[in-house]
Amino acid sequence: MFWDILRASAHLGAKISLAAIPYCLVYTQLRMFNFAFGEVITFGGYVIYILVEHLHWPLWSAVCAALLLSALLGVVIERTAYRRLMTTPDRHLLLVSSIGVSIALQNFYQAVFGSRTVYPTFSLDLGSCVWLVLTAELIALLWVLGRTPFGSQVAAVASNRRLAQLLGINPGFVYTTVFAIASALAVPPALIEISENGIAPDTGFQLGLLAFAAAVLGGRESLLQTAAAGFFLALLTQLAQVTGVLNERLVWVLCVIGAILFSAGRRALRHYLKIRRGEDSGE
Amino acid sequence: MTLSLLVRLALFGMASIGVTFLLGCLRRFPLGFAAVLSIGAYTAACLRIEAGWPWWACVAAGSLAGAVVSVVPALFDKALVGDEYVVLSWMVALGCAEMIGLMEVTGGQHSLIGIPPLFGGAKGFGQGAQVLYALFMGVMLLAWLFRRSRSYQEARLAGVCPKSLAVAGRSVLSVSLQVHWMAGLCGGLAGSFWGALYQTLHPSMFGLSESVVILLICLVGGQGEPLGVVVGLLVVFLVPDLLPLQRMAPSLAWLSRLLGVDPPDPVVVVNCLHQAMLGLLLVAAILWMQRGMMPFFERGWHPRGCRKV
Repeated sequence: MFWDILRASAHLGAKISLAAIPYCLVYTQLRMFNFAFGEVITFGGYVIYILVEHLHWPLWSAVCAALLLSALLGVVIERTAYRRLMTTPDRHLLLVSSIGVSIALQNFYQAVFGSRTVYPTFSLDLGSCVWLVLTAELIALLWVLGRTPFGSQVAAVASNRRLAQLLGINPGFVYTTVFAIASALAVPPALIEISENGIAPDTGFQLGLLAFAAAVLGGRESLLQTAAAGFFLALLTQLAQVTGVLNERLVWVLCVIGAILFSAGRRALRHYLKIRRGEDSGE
Repeated sequence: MTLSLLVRLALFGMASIGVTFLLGCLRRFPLGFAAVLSIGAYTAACLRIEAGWPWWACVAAGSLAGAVVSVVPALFDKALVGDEYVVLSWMVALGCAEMIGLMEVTGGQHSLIGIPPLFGGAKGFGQGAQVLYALFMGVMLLAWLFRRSRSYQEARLAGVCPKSLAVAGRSVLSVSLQVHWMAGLCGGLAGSFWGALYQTLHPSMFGLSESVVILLICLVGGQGEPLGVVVGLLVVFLVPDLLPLQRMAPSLAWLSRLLGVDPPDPVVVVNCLHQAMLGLLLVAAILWMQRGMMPFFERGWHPRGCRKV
């Protein structure tokens, strides 16, 4: 029983972490949650489904096409819905805008594909593959962000956009590239989801909610913490399912509320201690 | 224009009046404001069904319950930065929806049916709508008076420059709580009429799309402007109906067939396109109309050269 719960949570956790990494990647750069990633996941799923089932492409080429098209969709979303707001101090406007994009895309999918779930005929026994993909993705991202000139450019734009611009870095290019990478990373969770549960217009939205919760719980800025939070969330969800004490959705909602209040409380305490220290030293 | 649409306009208008002050004064986006409506609706409906309270007492209790839910994110308002308030308010809304779905008294995951109407008889719905509109006008008048009061200036200062308000000896938290309380009362009032007029409730009636519609009304009309709510209502509810969405349905059916799937029912397609338009309108309002449409009207009334200082 215990091992079953642990195995199921490890698998679900890897899936949530894979979906949460794009959220975290964009947050570290723009201080915004791109909620439309859920819809990019759905888009990737539908591309794979159509190419494999109706056009009879081999799976690997369908996945490559989905990577390219998802990256393209991410760039289009960034250029149209977010680029004008990149310099605004009100970062919540970006989140609200991303929710508008998410609603528009989700309803468009429903208008084209209907609300029913479609199941592909191919089946993938991904098992430990999910782990491998997650590990490879994390290593690659940490290497790109930490060891390459592009990673330095991303860090520079994230910390001070104007100063980075003075140093000759093009922030627009950095934003577009990060969005393209993050949107392409939405394809692995889409592939896992479609092979396990099929695809429906709200598939990405539901997975996106969990991924968003993991990103908030993981402190939003660290890829490793986000991945760990994904596993924690999956474990809690599985425990809630097995014990039946709480609704699984309520569990992660409470986790997100707790994480936000914890970070707000920590900030308030730090501020209070700073004031106290100032008073003690007679400033 | 049908009576049902008019009732919907009044319900969303009443809820939006409170939210417009949250946006305009405190610069806060309550993405889960539909939860305030749902708590108001369910409180009033449960009291009416289970305890048999008179409708006016249920409406008052529903408004108070809505105000309490609205105040929850405000308690932490000062410590929240960036998009934390938006996320917190959304999560509180999701939590409320799940809690409602778990309780037996609210009908659980099923609809709560058999809510007694405000007035019986064949004309009961119309009479209820008249009461709703009378209250809506009253709330509009109060909001207009608030807009011209000193409290509004203080609330605006709390959003724009909280430090100066603190220097003036006013508590930022208490001002923020006042505005949230007011918004919650309006939302709860709208919610408590919702159940009484439609006589059925379901948690999915108060989802993200309802919150987005409320935000959209305030953004399109003009943040912090009671009259802007009326403009926003007209734009949000009437403009998508003017678009040729029905003519787009066959094109989408063609796209569905091209992609190898059966096209959905045309009614579903039009409904989805309507929702998609609202999403796009939200993005457009954020990108290009953050001050809403009211400044355009004001510019018209006070042309360049003789504008009020």
